[in-house]
Amino acid sequence: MLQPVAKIELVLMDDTGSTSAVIVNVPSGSTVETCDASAIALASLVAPMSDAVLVRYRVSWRNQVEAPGVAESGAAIQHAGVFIFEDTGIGSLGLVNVPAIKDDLLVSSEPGAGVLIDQTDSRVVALVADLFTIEASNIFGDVFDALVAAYRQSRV
Amino acid sequence: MAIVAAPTATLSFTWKDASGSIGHTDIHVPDGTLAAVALTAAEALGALLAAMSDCVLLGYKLTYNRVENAPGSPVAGSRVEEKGNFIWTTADGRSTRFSIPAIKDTQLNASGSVNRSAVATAALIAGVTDVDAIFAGASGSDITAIAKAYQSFRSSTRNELPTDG
Repeated sequence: MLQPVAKIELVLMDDTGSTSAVIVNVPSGSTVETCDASAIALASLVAPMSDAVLVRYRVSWRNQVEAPGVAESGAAIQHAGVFIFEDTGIGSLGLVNVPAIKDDLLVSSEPGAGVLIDQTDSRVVALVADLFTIEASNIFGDVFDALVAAYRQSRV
Repeated sequence: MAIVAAPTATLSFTWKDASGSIGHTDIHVPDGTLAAVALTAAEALGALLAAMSDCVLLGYKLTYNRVENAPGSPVAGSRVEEKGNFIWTTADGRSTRFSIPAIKDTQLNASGSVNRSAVATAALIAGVTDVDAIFAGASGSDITAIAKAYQSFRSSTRNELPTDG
């Protein structure tokens, strides 16, 4: 369920380098453009009232599952499925981590039994296709267009 | 001074395993992606990811990040623990609040209350309660008026303590 408000967080830094935020709600139906304009307007009002300075701000929306249920017995976040993607045009890599990857996604024959993720599994194929559709990328904005490796790893 | 957008927005999915430990899956999408589009995509993506994990999905957060690439210098001696607290009333009769770190002494009365007549404070109140402003309480109801405003001091966290003490 999408929460009724998005949050604008203006992060200010003081003379010691410590930071703290001014956190203000806005309706969740607001566009990013509107939130940006509101954040900048609010920052201009806050600036003359504070001895700290604005260093960054963020706008966020939060959705909570109303009845999340219970994790599978033995599920452990460190048993992660790691998917390495590439922007093949520039050779830049990125990673998607799925905690507690299901065992039935791992290949059962050597080489790589119990470690490699079956890239032909329909769930993997569907995830990869969806990530390509939404232009998922690494943090630098290098857009994924190929899955180059997928395996299980102990990772938190 | 200029505000610069990060290249991507982040969809962060939160998971809980059998022991109650929390994990995350972070997916980056172009910063130009509309929030409504990203939130719709997150619904589909959450279902696809859940089919691959033994954890339960608790929810997700969509965040757009901006950085001030040339921030000014903080005033010497400024401390974020020194807060200006502003409590507001909303159109649905409830209240909401936010605080401003390192509130300037010029905005305060001798008692520690905020001087609502001070120019900057008056501008803040007018700006936040303006009918065209979208600032709201937790329910999404518009902020309509200032209720209280005062200074308070928060305990320093370990990271905020001086390093040369």
